[in-house]
Amino acid sequence: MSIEQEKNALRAVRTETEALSALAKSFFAAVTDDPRIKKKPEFRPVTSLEPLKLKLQGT
Amino acid sequence: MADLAKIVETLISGIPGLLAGGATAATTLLAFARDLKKRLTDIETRLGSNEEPRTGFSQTLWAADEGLKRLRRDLAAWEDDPPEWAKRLVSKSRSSSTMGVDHMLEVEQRLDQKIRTFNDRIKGYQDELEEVSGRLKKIEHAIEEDEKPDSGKLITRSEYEKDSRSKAEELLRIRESLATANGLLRGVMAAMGYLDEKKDPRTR
Repeated sequence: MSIEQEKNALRAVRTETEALSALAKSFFAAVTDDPRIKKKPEFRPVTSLEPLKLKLQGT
Repeated sequence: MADLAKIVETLISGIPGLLAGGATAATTLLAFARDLKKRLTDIETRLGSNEEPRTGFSQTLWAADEGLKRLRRDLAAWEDDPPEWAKRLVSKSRSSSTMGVDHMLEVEQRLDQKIRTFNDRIKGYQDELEEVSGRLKKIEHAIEEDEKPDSGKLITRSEYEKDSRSKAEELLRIRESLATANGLLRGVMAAMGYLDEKKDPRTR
């Protein structure tokens, strides 16, 4: 991979993650405004690299 | 004959004169070597590798430079301190009662051989330096070509550092975006009761 290709690939990954972050913000805002959700969400900063423990069915 | 010693001494004393050309050549080559060193330093600075250990060029130049300095010292020392072989010739001629043709031939051959040896050494250094010069010229030409605006083959140190900074900034932004997305989604999941608070290491 040339230096230019490497830079382009990195830029593409950055764009994708920024889009993901924006989507998460929209989702967060939607849930916050949703009257069906009683407990309002709070931002939870990542403090560990361990995987999440979910209560979803099958996990 | 007593004249033999004089003849040999005259010949010996004439050696520095005979070798004057060699000494001048050595001095010229030393200046040439210094110029090559400067050019090499310039190239290394432009390419960003002017730190120890230096390139093979530097080693070659250093060896040639040291050799030339030794050669010049040898030549300079001859006037005050003739070499052993010259002293032996003088001593031999003084002790000889007759001036034989064979002896004169020997003197001539030895002088010729010594001068030839010095000339060969100078020629060797000259060839070495010219080879280095030729290689440096090719590198300089390549750099000049690659530094043209429409070229993208080589990059300078400042360009490399700029690229590295830009990549580091991109990675930092990726990390921040991922951390934001992760934190927001986790918050939403917790609010919706999808997270097992007891098992989640991040809530501890």
